[in-house]
Amino acid sequence: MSDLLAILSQGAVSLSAQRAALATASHNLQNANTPGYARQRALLSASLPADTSSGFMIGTGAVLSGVTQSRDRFLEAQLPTLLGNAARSSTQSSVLSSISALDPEAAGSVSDALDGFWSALRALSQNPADGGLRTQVVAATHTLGMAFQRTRGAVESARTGVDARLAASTSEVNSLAAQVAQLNGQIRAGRASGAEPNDLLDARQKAVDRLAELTGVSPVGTSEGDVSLFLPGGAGLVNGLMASTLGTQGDATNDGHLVLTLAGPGGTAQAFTGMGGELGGLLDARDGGLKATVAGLDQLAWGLAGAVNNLHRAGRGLNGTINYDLFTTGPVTSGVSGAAARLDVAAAVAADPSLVAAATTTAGAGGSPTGDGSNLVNLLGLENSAVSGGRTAANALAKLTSDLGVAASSADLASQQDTALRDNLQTMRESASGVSIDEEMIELQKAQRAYEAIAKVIATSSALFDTLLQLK
Amino acid sequence: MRVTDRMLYDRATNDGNAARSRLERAAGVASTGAKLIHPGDDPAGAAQVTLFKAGAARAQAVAEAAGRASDELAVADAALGDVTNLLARAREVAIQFSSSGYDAAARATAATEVQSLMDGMVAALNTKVGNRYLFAGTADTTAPFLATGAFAANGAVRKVEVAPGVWQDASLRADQAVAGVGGGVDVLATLATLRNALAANDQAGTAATLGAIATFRPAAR
Repeated sequence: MSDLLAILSQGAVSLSAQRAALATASHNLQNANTPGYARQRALLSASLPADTSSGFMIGTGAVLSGVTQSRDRFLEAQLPTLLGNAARSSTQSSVLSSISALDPEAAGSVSDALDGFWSALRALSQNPADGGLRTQVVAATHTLGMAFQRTRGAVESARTGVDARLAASTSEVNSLAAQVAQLNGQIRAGRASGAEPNDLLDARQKAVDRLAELTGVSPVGTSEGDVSLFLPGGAGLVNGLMASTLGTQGDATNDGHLVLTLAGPGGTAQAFTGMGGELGGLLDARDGGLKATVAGLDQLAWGLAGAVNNLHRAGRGLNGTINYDLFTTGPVTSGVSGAAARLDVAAAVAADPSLVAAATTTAGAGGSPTGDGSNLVNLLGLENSAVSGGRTAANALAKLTSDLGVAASSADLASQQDTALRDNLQTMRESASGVSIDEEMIELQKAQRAYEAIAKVIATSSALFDTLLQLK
Repeated sequence: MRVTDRMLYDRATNDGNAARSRLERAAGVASTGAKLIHPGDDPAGAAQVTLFKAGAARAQAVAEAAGRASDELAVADAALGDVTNLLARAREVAIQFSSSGYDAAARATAATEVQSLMDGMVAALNTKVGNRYLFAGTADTTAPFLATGAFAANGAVRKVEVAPGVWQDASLRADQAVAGVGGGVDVLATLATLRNALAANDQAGTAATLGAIATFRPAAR
């Protein structure tokens, strides 16, 4: 039965519903710039059951039937993959683009030093007895060695920098994975109480998005409402309420650079290779383009030094000496790996430039052949000979430059494409879930006007009460 | 499409960043004058730049070497010019004293002149550039011709790269050019013969040297 008291109490309930709508709009507005926030809507519905009066059903006001989020599951299911892809390619591109050691126009490059080396040999070939020109050859040889060392050091330093980022990122991954596992539990508890924990869902989505950027994880929903996360290699990072732990350890087979490890809850850490996102991009760059560049420099240094030394040992110094190397690539037992880091002028030749083997002939009846530069002519022939991977030194260097460029360029193109796809999807998600200030202002107005009207109903009911009480 | 405020701000931010990135790139190109800064800008172009720079450096070094060799050849040419002039005078002396109108004293005086011509020729053939003898083959520090006219150096020939990979002789084999090795005329020995014939008042011997003197052709000239 609809009496004045019922109207008053219904008004109070309806006021509460409008207040909830007002609070929801306010919450939306306050989170208009919060990343990962999905706008919420207070769902109002007519309260049931309706009163019956004189055989007619009379409504009993409005109640808050729920607060929902505007989410597009179709879009959100695609987003982690795109976030991971974009982060991976852009990180790889960023790392590879930061390497300037092989910039073609850079001064003091290996290319310049190589040109200087050949030029010094060429100048000496015209006057092999000239002490100044011999010293110049020694200096140019040393400069070439230093250029190799500097260039390799710069690339290797970048690889070491990647290790530092890996170590730092694993801490963030572990923190976020633990956070997702914890949020899974809180969301379970929230739903058990009958309410949809919207803001916890937002927090979990935000953590999942960041994890997707860092590692390329794929989220999989469970029947309990949890989100489990699987790394690109298939290993689980978060399984319901349990989170695995990502770590790093040195890899002796990769010059001591870090390899990622994964330890399940209570398990032991195992080396792990399936990784995407930023971490995958860092590994791609470190063990892809950068490692190939270092290996190429080592191969070139090793090949060039070997070819030069072979001829140099056969030639004769100013005093007829033979069997001296012009280059050193470190101890005899050392191999091609690290050759560019050890390349330098041989100590004996550096100490005594007369040992530069310019000649092929020895002293005879026709005097001492101090002007014999025939071995230098042989050495200069190496300028056109294959010394590394079937290529001349200049061609090998050009290929190294080109290969690094291709790696950087490919990563950049992939990054542009992945970033465009990610931005497009994020825009679509923002369109579906983002907060429009205009809409929320209108919601505020609607709630305010309804609140005012309900207040008027209460005032009117109160006035009717007064009228009723004044009846005598 | 539903457009939120954040979409507008994000678009403005992203587009602004992209524009600034392009501006930075253009400023880099304008300030350095280099369009190709990183190999990733144009991998194939970067490889070409590396090769072109190597080629340019090589061409410059080759040009400098060829220039130096050319300078030395010019000095050698001048020395051989002196030899030719001296030989021309020797030929005049030989022709003059091949006739019967001269006595022993006159021929002895001529022998003295021929000796001085020989000395001048040895000096010209012992020309040095810097610290090395031009006509000594590879024996840079050995005077190629003794005062007697004997050749004391070796017959090696230095090479110079005149174009990438193309090597050419950059010196003269003095033993062949003036010392008679390989069938040519031993100029100094011929002059010694002339000198001796004049000193001995040997008219026929003097005339006999004319043939050899006439056939001499310095190779570098």
